Amino acid sequence: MAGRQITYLTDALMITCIVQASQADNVVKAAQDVGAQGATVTYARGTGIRERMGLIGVAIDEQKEMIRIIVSQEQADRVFEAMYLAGNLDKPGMGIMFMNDLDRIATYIPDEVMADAQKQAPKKKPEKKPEKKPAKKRAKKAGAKK
Amino acid sequence: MITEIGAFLHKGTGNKLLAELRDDKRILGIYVEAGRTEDLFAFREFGSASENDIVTILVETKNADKIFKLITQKADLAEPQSGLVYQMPLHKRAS
Amino acid sequence: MLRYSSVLRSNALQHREISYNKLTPKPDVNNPDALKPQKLKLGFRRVMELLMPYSGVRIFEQMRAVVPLAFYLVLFQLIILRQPIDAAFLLVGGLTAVIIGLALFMEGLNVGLMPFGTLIGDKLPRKASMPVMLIIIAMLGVGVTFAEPAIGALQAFGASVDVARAPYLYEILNNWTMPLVLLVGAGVGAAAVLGTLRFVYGWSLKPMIYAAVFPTLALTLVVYANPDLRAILGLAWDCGAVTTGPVTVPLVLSLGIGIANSTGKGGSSLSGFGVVTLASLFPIFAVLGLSLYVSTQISAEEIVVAAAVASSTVSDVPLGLWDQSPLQEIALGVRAIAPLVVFLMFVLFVVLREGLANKLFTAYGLVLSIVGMCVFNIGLTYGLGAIGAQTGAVLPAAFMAIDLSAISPIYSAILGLTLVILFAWFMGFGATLAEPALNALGLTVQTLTNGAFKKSMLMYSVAIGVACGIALGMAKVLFEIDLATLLIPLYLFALVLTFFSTEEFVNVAWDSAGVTTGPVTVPLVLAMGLGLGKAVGAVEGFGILSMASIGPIIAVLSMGLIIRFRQSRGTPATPTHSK
Repeated sequence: MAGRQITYLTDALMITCIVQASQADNVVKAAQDVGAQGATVTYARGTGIRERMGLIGVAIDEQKEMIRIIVSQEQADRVFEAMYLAGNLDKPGMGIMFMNDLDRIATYIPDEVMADAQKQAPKKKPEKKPEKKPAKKRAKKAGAKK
Repeated sequence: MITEIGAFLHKGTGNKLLAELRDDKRILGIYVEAGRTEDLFAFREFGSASENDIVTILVETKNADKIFKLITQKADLAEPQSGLVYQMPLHKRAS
Repeated sequence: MLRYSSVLRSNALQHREISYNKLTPKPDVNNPDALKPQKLKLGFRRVMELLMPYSGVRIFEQMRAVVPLAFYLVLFQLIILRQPIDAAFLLVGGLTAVIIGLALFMEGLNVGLMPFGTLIGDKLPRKASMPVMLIIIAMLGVGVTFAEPAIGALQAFGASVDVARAPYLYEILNNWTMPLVLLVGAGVGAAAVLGTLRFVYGWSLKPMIYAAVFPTLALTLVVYANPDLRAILGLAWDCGAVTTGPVTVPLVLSLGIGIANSTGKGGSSLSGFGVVTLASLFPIFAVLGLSLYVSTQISAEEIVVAAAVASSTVSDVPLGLWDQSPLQEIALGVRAIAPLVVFLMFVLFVVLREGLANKLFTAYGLVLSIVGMCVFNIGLTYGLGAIGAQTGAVLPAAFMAIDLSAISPIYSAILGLTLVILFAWFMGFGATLAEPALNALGLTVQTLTNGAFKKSMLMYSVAIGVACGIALGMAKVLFEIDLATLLIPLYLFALVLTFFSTEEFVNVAWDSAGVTTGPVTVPLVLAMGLGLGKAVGAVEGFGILSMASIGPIIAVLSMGLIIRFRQSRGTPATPTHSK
């Protein structure tokens, strides 16, 4: 791999959000509206609250969508909140979300973005669209529990 | 300590990685699942989104660096829009 | 100075941090069950909060499909055809029943029938040997054909065939009914077996399509060459279209997906498809073969003589209790689902010795699908079917004089014919969107691609395809175009598109051909085809459905190619993506 170089990005977090099937598009849209980049969505099957409700449980979709979004530390709380609201996670049976620290990430970064980021700060900035907001204390475990 | 290395890659890459890394002694576990993504790749086979593979690998933290490099090489991340690899510390392990 | 972050903070949510420890159950010496999940007690308001969106979303989804279609039919009749609506109240009631029935049925499919099918498909290859599995699948294939209500509709249609002009068609529909249904069933059974082998060994669908379509087209040409047999073509190709209905398709799909999951070698996430299209093609081949056989057994003159004798001795058989509406609809609904479910239960409990994961939900789903089917059938009779029959009957008034309408012909021949064909286009479009089997296919495709292939995208492209197909089929009846001259070039074109398309789109496109012609489209189209066919004195009104099957194949394949073309042009460096 001579002549090629991998850039590691730090200060990244992963938000994982599990919602009922067909809700994911809303949530991803909300996250993208406040600056999140890529989202990966998978289908999953969930148990728990559904089985404890008896027949009313059919009202909760057994099929879930699991959204994974990688965000910068600065935008993390904002994206987290936007997703929480878009997913209506304050209603019963709608889902749960959490956030993890990542050691580092690696992906393709366009040259112009790279140049931009190196000009801007001593530390490499992870996002293509650098955020204006200064760093803020990060919420380590803002588990949404109704 | 144990570390999770995950990758969002093109569909098909996941099973290839699985086959290649299955016998790697440093890897404690490797899992592949399928998902969709809207903006990770430039080519969206179904118009608004494309399918992708999600690979999750568990390694001892001391090996994490080597495996992370290995995965980034195998995933060919220097190409535009080819995916993303992350590394995440984990809390507890039993096996 | 104001920190930007504090501005943001001010309009953010009220945060409250609670330790999760406080919410999780704690061990209790006095109560050994303390750690087990407790049954939740929900108040009435909470229950409503859950049930309202649950039922609301599902009913609204069907309303969006059915209401525009109904409005369209009513407005067309009132404004373009200037004919008052009969029995308006009954119609509204019927339409409501259609909407509720569809919502119930779809939910029943999702909760009961499809997970049930997937479970069996998943267990079958693990617990049963290959021959046992194939026998069960073949039996299922034959069984679903008998359960399919649309087959009965074809037979009813047979009585209206003019024996002098289409002798062999008359002969097959009236005196060879049993072999006809058996052969169609055998075709479906063979398709199911071949499809299963394909899942297990991961064969590509493309060669199978070539291998199935070319002989069928060849046989079509042979039959076309014989003027006495020519009229059979419509029946044969329509048989293919109707074998795959709202119960068959979801069941076959979910079974296939289960089998593909547990044995699958195919790289594509859509490799569980293909059975539906084979189940549409094989019966065509079988029926064409039957017609050739019949033509060696009896001559056209003999049939005409025999028919003359038979028609003089026909007497009206009084209708039984179960042949009267609405009991008939309920019987049909139960007949379409219950035997299949019993058979599958037998396979699951006795052959595989497996249990159900969640009996309560599965039972709920199965009951829902049966109830939904019955309500839907009743709604069809009084709602969509009634309005379709009304509009279909006065439709010829647009371009020719008929008894029903005092002011006919309303328009000049050219304008009237254009209107009729346009009407057919929009009706095909609307009816397809309401088709439950297409809903199920769309949902399955969406699930299998993890949502990348959107259900709505598939449904709209299929609907456009069906609309074009039905409009073409209408033109076929109006202008008496030979079916073969339309079908053969269109299928050849579809084969060319198939050659250039990716495996994913080939799988979905060919399967969508079979699902489009279900309980919503068939009665509407048949009512229209019959009305128009009679008015213009066509030999038979068959063939429209087969045009509705080829339409979506071309539409979906084209969509796949357009997407690929756009993407590859939009981004110069297409990454190393599996094609």
